[in-house]
Amino acid sequence: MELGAILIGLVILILSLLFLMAPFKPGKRKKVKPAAANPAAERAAALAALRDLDFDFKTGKVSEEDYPSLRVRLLAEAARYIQQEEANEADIEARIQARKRTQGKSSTAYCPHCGKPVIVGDLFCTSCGSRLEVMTAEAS
Amino acid sequence: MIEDIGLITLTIAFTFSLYATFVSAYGGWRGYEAWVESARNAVLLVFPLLTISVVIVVYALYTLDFSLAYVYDVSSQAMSPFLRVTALWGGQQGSVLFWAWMMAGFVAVVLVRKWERDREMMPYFIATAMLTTTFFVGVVLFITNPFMRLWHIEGADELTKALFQPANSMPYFPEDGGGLNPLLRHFGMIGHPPTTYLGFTGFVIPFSFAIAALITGHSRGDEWIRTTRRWTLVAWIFLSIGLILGGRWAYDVLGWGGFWGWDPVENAMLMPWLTGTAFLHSVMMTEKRGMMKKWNMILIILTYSLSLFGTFITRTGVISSVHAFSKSALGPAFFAFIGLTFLGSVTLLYLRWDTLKSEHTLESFISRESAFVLQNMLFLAITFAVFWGTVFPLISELVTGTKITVGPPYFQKATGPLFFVLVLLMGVAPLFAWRKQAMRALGKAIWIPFAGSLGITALWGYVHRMHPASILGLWLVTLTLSLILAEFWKGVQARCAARGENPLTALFNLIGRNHRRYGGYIIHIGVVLIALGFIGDANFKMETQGTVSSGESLTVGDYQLRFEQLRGYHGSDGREIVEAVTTLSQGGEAIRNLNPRRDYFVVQQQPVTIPGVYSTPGKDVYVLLVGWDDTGKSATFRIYVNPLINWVWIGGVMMILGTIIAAWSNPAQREATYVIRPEVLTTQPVPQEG
Repeated sequence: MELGAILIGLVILILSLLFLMAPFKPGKRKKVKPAAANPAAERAAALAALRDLDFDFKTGKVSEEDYPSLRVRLLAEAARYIQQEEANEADIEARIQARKRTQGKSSTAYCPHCGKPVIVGDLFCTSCGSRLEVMTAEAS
Repeated sequence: MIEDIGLITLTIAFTFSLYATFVSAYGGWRGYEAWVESARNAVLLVFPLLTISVVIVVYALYTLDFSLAYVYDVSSQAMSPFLRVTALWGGQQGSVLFWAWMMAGFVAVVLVRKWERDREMMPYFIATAMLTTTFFVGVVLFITNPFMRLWHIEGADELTKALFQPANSMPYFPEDGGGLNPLLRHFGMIGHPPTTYLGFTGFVIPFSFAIAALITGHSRGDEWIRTTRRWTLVAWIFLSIGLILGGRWAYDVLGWGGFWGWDPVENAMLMPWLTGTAFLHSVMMTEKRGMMKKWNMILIILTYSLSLFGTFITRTGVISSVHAFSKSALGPAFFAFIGLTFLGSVTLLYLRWDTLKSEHTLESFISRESAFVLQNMLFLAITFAVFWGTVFPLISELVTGTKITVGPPYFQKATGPLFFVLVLLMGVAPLFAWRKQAMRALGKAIWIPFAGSLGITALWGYVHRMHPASILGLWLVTLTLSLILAEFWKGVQARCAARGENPLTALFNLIGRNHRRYGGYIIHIGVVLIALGFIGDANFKMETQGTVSSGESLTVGDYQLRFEQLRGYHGSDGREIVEAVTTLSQGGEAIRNLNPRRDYFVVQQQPVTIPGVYSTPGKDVYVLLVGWDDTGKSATFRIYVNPLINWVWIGGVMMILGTIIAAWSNPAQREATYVIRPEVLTTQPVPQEG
């Protein structure tokens, strides 16, 4: 084997190893978010099933005896996902409102460590980075 | 020097594949995220590393670097640049490397696309897929290495192939190589092998997700099925294209007038296709009804094992001779790997059997659910019949010492009736409702297509009354086709009535609203057309053989073939060509000049028979030059009239089209809305649940 090939091979190996070991670097670790259930996808699937059922009924593939009970079941399922999604949205909306309320009175709190003003509800001080006690909107 | 780099990257790729397999499994088990991330990076490196090796082999083939044994075996000066490049998969070493490279590519694509979505399954997905990749890269590296060189050892009669210089040897640089097997020097070389390999390797992806789902307990749900649905379709369509192109190639090159001969290598491709097709249908039951989870697992494990088995048969030649098995370490290595992965998967399935409980039970014998169960059983039965016929010569040789081959009649008798029921089911099953099908409604849906098919068959049967055996087959095809078309018609009618669309718009929207269902129906139409081709082949084929002098004619059916003269010339790729000039006439009227020929590859001392074909949608006239006398005044021809054969290729195109539609993401589902119209709500009192 020629020396040139061995050298090029070594360069490839070293570069590859750097990439391979990158995730082990201390600062590089990322937290994995657990896969959240996706109500939008579930809702889409339930609605598609409902649409298929209606279509099958129209083309005579589902009998008149079976259709109402199947439809009720699928409707309830779809409604459950829609409600879930709406609840999630309402939750997000509430948080946005809470945040908006605190934004107006942003300098009403001070960092206990460095004394600089902080926004109520923040977890960390934007000046010194120390952890703040969580203050809820009503505390202000 | 450049070949050495190829060998180095191959070695690193092997090490990294092995690393990814174990590190991801361990990281997943212990919850060490960094380990899994590192395994992922290893996978992302294996693909480019193997790409370097592949590119270097192709470069060596193209530039005819005969110091490499592989280049010496499969490339030669006479070969065109196109064939030199395709020689990558023209021999054993190159094709196993090509397999490993595609596999690594698929896994890398999954990791780039799905990384964030299926995080819990990912470690085990990587471990399973990379175990398979490690095996193939390992085989390339240790058993059948394309970077081996030729050496001449002092005093030895034969050349030695080795990676590194043996003692007392000199490197050997041949002037020219042996070149590709003449049968492979065909345009089909660009299509059939790569598509087949894409099919085989593609099925490793759903298999690996299935194993990951079993390990993590995600097998309870159907996320893994949704994740892999498109992958399965991609693997399936490539395997289908591979099968069709293989049939077309055999028809063009092998010179026996047919396209499917139940050859072990063909069967090796057909078996994973059969179980893969069953899997593709079976998963729908899990998605829609939470049933048949055990079936899915069994089918995907079988498909994976049969894909490996297919590669094993093709690459080791074990079926043509048991002795090929022990000739190199390749046979035992494959055998051990297939055995271990199969046993491992089955054990895991056994341990996780409880997670695969059905969410519902079968409520009626006539329902969509029971149709799915029946189709699974039919596909499995056909696979078993084909498997038995394929390995029977092997078993007979091992047990009795004499090889007993089972020919096409066995396969036709064993699988014919099963295929018949399967095609019938393909027409009827889409009419069934989920849970329970009312017989009256079924009768109402079926009677018009049924009566229509009887009418057409009666007419058809009268025209073809000389072939009574064909009538049943023709009826089957007509009935199934009318049932499928009736499905389209009913959908169009419903849309026209509900939305006032014109029929053409309605058809377009119908397919657009449910790609999966109507794409599937289009695939079914393709299958029916292929069945029509098989029926023509089995029942209406005519053949004759005869020796004629210049100016004389041979007759088959209402065709006459008049032999004019022979001519010989030198062709490309180092072949000597003898070509017959003939005129084909029908009812006394000349329609076409046909030039069947025999190409003799001088270096390989191998003849290839190229037919002269007159092709119409109804039939092909297929003429072979079988022999001639030395004076060139007379020649022997074999003529086949192959009715309906072109429907096989048309059906194949329909299948591809249908798959593209079915795999296309559905805009109707993406927007995820459905306006619930009050008019379809029933006026009957709604029964409460429970």
